[in-house]
Amino acid sequence: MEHYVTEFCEIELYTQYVIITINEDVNFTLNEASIIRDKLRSYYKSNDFIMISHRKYHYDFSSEVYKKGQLNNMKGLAIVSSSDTERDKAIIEQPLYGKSFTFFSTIEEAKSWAESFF
Amino acid sequence: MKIYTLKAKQNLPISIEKAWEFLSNPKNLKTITPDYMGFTILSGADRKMYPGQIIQYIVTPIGNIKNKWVTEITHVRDGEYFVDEQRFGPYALWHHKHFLKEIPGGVEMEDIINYKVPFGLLGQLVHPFIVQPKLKEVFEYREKKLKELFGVLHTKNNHQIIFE
Repeated sequence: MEHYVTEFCEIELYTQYVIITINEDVNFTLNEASIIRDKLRSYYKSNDFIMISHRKYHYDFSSEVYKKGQLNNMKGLAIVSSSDTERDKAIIEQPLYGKSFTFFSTIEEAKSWAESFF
Repeated sequence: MKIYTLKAKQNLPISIEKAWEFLSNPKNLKTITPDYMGFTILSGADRKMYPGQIIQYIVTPIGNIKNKWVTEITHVRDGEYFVDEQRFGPYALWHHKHFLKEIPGGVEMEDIINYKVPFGLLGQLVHPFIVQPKLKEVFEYREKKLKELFGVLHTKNNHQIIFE
Protein backbone atom coordinates (compact mmCIF):
# COMPACT_ATOMS: atom_id res chain seq x y z
CA MET A 1 0.00 0.00 0.00
CA GLU A 2 1.17 3.51 -0.76
CA HIS A 3 -0.06 6.48 1.19
CA TYR A 4 0.09 10.14 0.16
CA VAL A 5 -1.09 13.28 1.86
CA THR A 6 -1.50 16.39 -0.26
CA GLU A 7 -2.67 19.83 0.81
CA PHE A 8 -6.23 18.95 -0.19
CA CYS A 9 -6.59 15.20 0.29
CA GLU A 10 -5.34 11.85 1.50
CA ILE A 11 -4.74 9.01 -0.99
CA GLU A 12 -4.37 5.35 -0.01
CA LEU A 13 -3.39 3.16 -2.95
CA TYR A 14 -4.08 -0.58 -2.71
CA THR A 15 -3.73 -3.20 -5.43
CA GLN A 16 -7.43 -3.27 -6.36
CA TYR A 17 -8.73 0.02 -5.05
CA VAL A 18 -7.78 3.53 -4.02
CA ILE A 19 -9.31 5.35 -1.07
CA ILE A 20 -9.47 9.13 -1.43
CA THR A 21 -10.48 11.43 1.39
CA ILE A 22 -10.87 15.09 0.45
CA ASN A 23 -10.21 17.60 3.23
CA GLU A 24 -12.86 19.80 4.75
CA ASP A 25 -14.09 22.80 2.71
CA VAL A 26 -11.87 22.10 -0.29
CA ASN A 27 -13.10 23.43 -3.61
CA PHE A 28 -12.43 20.35 -5.70
CA THR A 29 -11.90 21.31 -9.34
CA LEU A 30 -10.29 19.86 -12.45
CA ASN A 31 -6.92 20.97 -11.12
CA GLU A 32 -7.17 18.83 -7.97
CA ALA A 33 -8.61 15.95 -10.02
CA SER A 34 -5.61 16.13 -12.33
CA ILE A 35 -3.17 15.81 -9.41
CA ILE A 36 -4.98 12.68 -8.17
CA ARG A 37 -5.15 11.27 -11.70
CA ASP A 38 -1.38 11.53 -12.06
CA LYS A 39 -0.89 9.47 -8.90
CA LEU A 40 -3.38 6.87 -10.16
CA ARG A 41 -1.70 6.61 -13.57
CA SER A 42 1.65 6.18 -11.99
CA TYR A 43 0.50 3.51 -9.52
CA TYR A 44 -2.00 1.45 -11.53
CA LYS A 45 -0.55 1.98 -15.03
CA SER A 46 -2.99 -0.08 -17.19
CA ASN A 47 -4.31 -2.24 -14.32
CA ASP A 48 -7.97 -1.99 -13.38
CA PHE A 49 -8.97 -0.47 -10.07
CA ILE A 50 -11.96 0.87 -8.15
CA MET A 51 -12.08 4.33 -6.57
CA ILE A 52 -13.51 4.71 -3.08
CA SER A 53 -14.39 8.28 -2.21
CA HIS A 54 -14.48 8.47 1.57
CA ARG A 55 -16.59 11.54 2.30
CA LYS A 56 -15.66 12.19 5.89
CA TYR A 57 -15.85 15.96 5.39
CA HIS A 58 -17.96 18.41 3.48
CA TYR A 59 -16.37 19.85 0.35
CA ASP A 60 -17.51 21.39 -2.90
CA PHE A 61 -16.74 19.90 -6.26
CA SER A 62 -17.36 20.75 -9.87
CA SER A 63 -19.40 18.28 -11.94
CA GLU A 64 -16.74 18.82 -14.64
CA VAL A 65 -14.50 16.37 -12.81
CA TYR A 66 -16.83 13.57 -13.87
CA LYS A 67 -16.86 14.65 -17.49
CA LYS A 68 -13.20 15.21 -18.18
CA GLY A 69 -10.18 12.98 -18.03
CA GLN A 70 -11.65 9.82 -16.57
CA LEU A 71 -9.23 6.92 -16.57
CA ASN A 72 -10.33 3.93 -18.65
CA ASN A 73 -8.98 1.46 -16.12
CA MET A 74 -11.04 2.95 -13.29
CA LYS A 75 -13.89 0.46 -13.31
CA GLY A 76 -16.14 1.87 -10.65
CA LEU A 77 -16.71 4.46 -7.96
CA ALA A 78 -18.00 3.92 -4.44
CA ILE A 79 -19.06 6.84 -2.28
CA VAL A 80 -18.74 6.20 1.44
CA SER A 81 -20.58 8.31 3.97
CA SER A 82 -22.88 7.78 6.90
CA SER A 83 -24.63 11.06 6.14
CA ASP A 84 -28.02 11.02 4.41
CA THR A 85 -27.18 14.34 2.77
CA GLU A 86 -24.08 12.85 1.13
CA ARG A 87 -26.16 9.89 -0.01
CA ASP A 88 -28.70 12.23 -1.61
CA LYS A 89 -25.84 14.07 -3.32
CA ALA A 90 -24.50 10.75 -4.59
CA ILE A 91 -27.86 9.92 -6.18
CA ILE A 92 -27.59 13.19 -8.11
CA GLU A 93 -23.97 12.46 -9.08
CA GLN A 94 -24.75 8.94 -10.28
CA PRO A 95 -25.87 9.84 -13.85
CA LEU A 96 -22.70 11.94 -14.31
CA TYR A 97 -20.51 8.87 -14.04
CA GLY A 98 -20.99 6.33 -16.80
CA LYS A 99 -19.58 3.28 -15.04
CA SER A 100 -20.37 1.27 -11.94
CA PHE A 101 -21.39 3.55 -9.11
CA THR A 102 -22.61 2.85 -5.63
CA PHE A 103 -22.65 4.11 -2.06
CA PHE A 104 -21.98 2.59 1.32
CA SER A 105 -22.12 3.75 4.88
CA THR A 106 -18.84 2.07 5.89
CA ILE A 107 -15.43 1.83 4.29
CA GLU A 108 -15.34 -1.94 4.92
CA GLU A 109 -18.43 -2.46 2.74
CA ALA A 110 -16.83 -0.43 -0.04
CA LYS A 111 -13.58 -2.43 0.16
CA SER A 112 -15.55 -5.66 -0.01
CA TRP A 113 -17.43 -4.40 -3.08
CA ALA A 114 -14.19 -3.34 -4.79
CA GLU A 115 -12.64 -6.75 -4.13
CA SER A 116 -15.68 -8.51 -5.62
CA PHE A 117 -14.68 -7.15 -9.06
CA PHE A 118 -11.42 -9.08 -9.18
CA MET B 1 -54.56 -17.77 -27.04
CA LYS B 2 -51.51 -15.56 -26.90
CA ILE B 3 -49.05 -15.89 -24.02
CA TYR B 4 -46.73 -12.90 -23.73
CA THR B 5 -43.26 -12.87 -22.22
CA LEU B 6 -41.53 -9.99 -20.48
CA LYS B 7 -37.81 -10.33 -19.80
CA ALA B 8 -36.01 -7.79 -17.65
CA LYS B 9 -32.40 -7.67 -16.50
CA GLN B 10 -30.61 -5.30 -14.20
CA ASN B 11 -27.21 -5.55 -12.57
CA LEU B 12 -26.84 -4.31 -9.02
CA PRO B 13 -23.57 -3.46 -7.24
CA ILE B 14 -24.48 -5.38 -4.08
CA SER B 15 -23.79 -8.79 -2.63
CA ILE B 16 -26.08 -11.71 -3.45
CA GLU B 17 -27.10 -11.86 0.22
CA LYS B 18 -28.15 -8.21 0.25
CA ALA B 19 -29.98 -8.55 -3.08
CA TRP B 20 -31.83 -11.64 -1.92
CA GLU B 21 -32.76 -10.08 1.41
CA PHE B 22 -34.28 -7.06 -0.32
CA LEU B 23 -35.91 -8.68 -3.35
CA SER B 24 -37.40 -11.69 -1.60
CA ASN B 25 -39.13 -9.54 1.02
CA PRO B 26 -42.65 -8.74 -0.28
CA LYS B 27 -42.76 -5.66 1.96
CA ASN B 28 -40.19 -4.02 -0.32
CA LEU B 29 -42.49 -4.30 -3.34
CA LYS B 30 -44.17 -1.07 -2.29
CA THR B 31 -40.82 0.76 -2.39
CA ILE B 32 -40.15 -0.27 -5.99
CA THR B 33 -43.70 0.21 -7.31
CA PRO B 34 -44.93 3.63 -8.51
CA ASP B 35 -46.82 5.48 -5.74
CA TYR B 36 -49.82 6.14 -7.99
CA MET B 37 -50.47 2.38 -8.12
CA GLY B 38 -51.42 2.46 -4.46
CA PHE B 39 -49.72 -0.86 -3.81
CA THR B 40 -50.94 -2.19 -0.46
CA ILE B 41 -50.26 -5.59 1.03
CA LEU B 42 -53.37 -6.97 2.72
CA SER B 43 -51.92 -10.17 4.14
CA GLY B 44 -49.35 -12.91 3.83
CA ALA B 45 -46.08 -10.96 3.94
CA ASP B 46 -45.37 -11.42 7.64
CA ARG B 47 -43.00 -14.39 7.25
CA LYS B 48 -39.80 -15.07 5.36
CA MET B 49 -40.64 -16.28 1.85
CA TYR B 50 -41.59 -19.95 1.50
CA PRO B 51 -43.22 -22.14 -1.17
CA GLY B 52 -46.97 -22.08 -0.73
CA GLN B 53 -47.04 -18.56 0.70
CA ILE B 54 -50.16 -16.68 -0.34
CA ILE B 55 -49.84 -12.89 -0.50
CA GLN B 56 -52.81 -10.60 -1.05
CA TYR B 57 -52.41 -7.08 -2.46
CA ILE B 58 -54.46 -4.20 -3.69
CA VAL B 59 -53.12 -2.37 -6.77
CA THR B 60 -54.60 0.50 -8.75
CA PRO B 61 -52.79 0.36 -12.09
CA ILE B 62 -55.17 2.40 -14.23
CA GLY B 63 -57.47 5.22 -13.15
CA ASN B 64 -59.17 4.55 -9.84
CA ILE B 65 -59.93 0.91 -10.55
CA LYS B 66 -58.68 -1.07 -7.57
CA ASN B 67 -57.61 -4.62 -8.28
CA LYS B 68 -57.22 -7.32 -5.69
CA TRP B 69 -54.30 -9.52 -6.54
CA VAL B 70 -53.55 -12.85 -4.87
CA THR B 71 -50.24 -14.52 -5.64
CA GLU B 72 -48.68 -17.73 -4.47
CA ILE B 73 -44.95 -18.14 -4.03
CA THR B 74 -44.60 -21.52 -5.65
CA HIS B 75 -40.83 -22.09 -5.77
CA VAL B 76 -37.98 -20.73 -3.66
CA ARG B 77 -34.29 -21.50 -3.73
CA ASP B 78 -32.50 -19.16 -1.32
CA GLY B 79 -30.14 -16.75 -3.07
CA GLU B 80 -30.97 -18.12 -6.52
CA TYR B 81 -34.60 -17.78 -7.56
CA PHE B 82 -38.22 -17.64 -6.58
CA VAL B 83 -41.46 -17.86 -8.56
CA ASP B 84 -44.75 -16.10 -7.93
CA GLU B 85 -47.96 -17.09 -9.68
CA GLN B 86 -51.23 -15.24 -9.74
CA ARG B 87 -54.05 -17.15 -8.11
CA PHE B 88 -56.58 -14.36 -8.44
CA GLY B 89 -56.18 -11.01 -10.16
CA PRO B 90 -56.29 -8.95 -13.33
CA TYR B 91 -54.38 -11.33 -15.62
CA ALA B 92 -55.61 -14.56 -17.16
CA LEU B 93 -52.13 -15.94 -16.41
CA TRP B 94 -49.19 -14.47 -14.47
CA HIS B 95 -46.09 -16.58 -13.88
CA HIS B 96 -43.13 -14.53 -12.67
CA LYS B 97 -39.67 -16.01 -12.23
CA HIS B 98 -37.07 -13.97 -10.33
CA PHE B 99 -33.47 -15.09 -10.79
CA LEU B 100 -30.31 -13.83 -9.08
CA LYS B 101 -26.77 -14.63 -10.17
CA GLU B 102 -23.48 -13.49 -8.70
CA ILE B 103 -21.26 -11.61 -11.18
CA PRO B 104 -18.05 -9.59 -10.74
CA GLY B 105 -18.94 -6.47 -8.74
CA GLY B 106 -22.42 -7.59 -7.73
CA VAL B 107 -25.43 -9.50 -8.97
CA GLU B 108 -27.43 -9.91 -12.13
CA MET B 109 -31.14 -9.79 -11.46
CA GLU B 110 -33.30 -11.35 -14.14
CA ASP B 111 -37.09 -11.48 -14.33
CA ILE B 112 -39.01 -13.66 -16.77
CA ILE B 113 -42.75 -13.23 -16.79
CA ASN B 114 -45.19 -15.29 -18.84
CA TYR B 115 -48.59 -13.69 -18.83
CA LYS B 116 -51.89 -13.76 -20.64
CA VAL B 117 -54.38 -10.92 -20.76
CA PRO B 118 -58.11 -11.47 -20.08
CA PHE B 119 -61.05 -10.85 -22.44
CA GLY B 120 -59.74 -12.96 -25.35
CA LEU B 121 -59.23 -11.16 -28.63
CA LEU B 122 -60.28 -7.82 -27.17
CA GLY B 123 -57.59 -8.16 -24.50
CA GLN B 124 -55.00 -8.96 -27.17
CA LEU B 125 -56.07 -5.93 -29.19
CA VAL B 126 -55.56 -3.50 -26.30
CA HIS B 127 -52.39 -5.22 -25.04
CA PRO B 128 -49.93 -3.10 -27.11
CA PHE B 129 -51.67 0.14 -26.10
CA ILE B 130 -52.47 -0.40 -22.43
CA VAL B 131 -50.95 -3.49 -20.80
CA GLN B 132 -47.49 -3.52 -22.38
CA PRO B 133 -46.78 0.21 -21.86
CA LYS B 134 -48.00 -0.04 -18.26
CA LEU B 135 -45.75 -3.01 -17.51
CA LYS B 136 -42.83 -1.23 -19.16
CA GLU B 137 -43.47 1.83 -17.01
CA VAL B 138 -43.61 -0.29 -13.84
CA PHE B 139 -40.34 -2.05 -14.65
CA GLU B 140 -38.61 1.21 -15.61
CA TYR B 141 -39.71 2.69 -12.30
CA ARG B 142 -38.35 -0.33 -10.45
CA GLU B 143 -35.06 0.02 -12.31
CA LYS B 144 -34.79 3.70 -11.32
CA LYS B 145 -35.63 3.02 -7.67
CA LEU B 146 -33.12 0.17 -7.43
CA LYS B 147 -30.46 2.47 -8.89
CA GLU B 148 -31.26 5.06 -6.23
CA LEU B 149 -31.17 2.46 -3.49
CA PHE B 150 -28.12 0.47 -4.56
CA GLY B 151 -26.34 2.20 -7.45
CA VAL B 152 -25.32 0.95 -10.87
CA LEU B 153 -23.22 -2.00 -11.93
CA HIS B 154 -21.96 -1.26 -15.40
CA THR B 155 -21.54 -4.14 -17.83
CA LYS B 156 -22.20 -4.53 -21.57
CA ASN B 157 -25.86 -5.35 -20.99
CA ASN B 158 -26.49 -3.92 -17.56
CA HIS B 159 -30.20 -3.40 -18.05
CA GLN B 160 -32.93 -4.37 -20.48
CA ILE B 161 -36.69 -4.74 -20.66
CA ILE B 162 -37.89 -6.89 -23.56
CA PHE B 163 -41.35 -8.04 -24.60
CA GLU B 164 -41.81 -11.13 -26.74
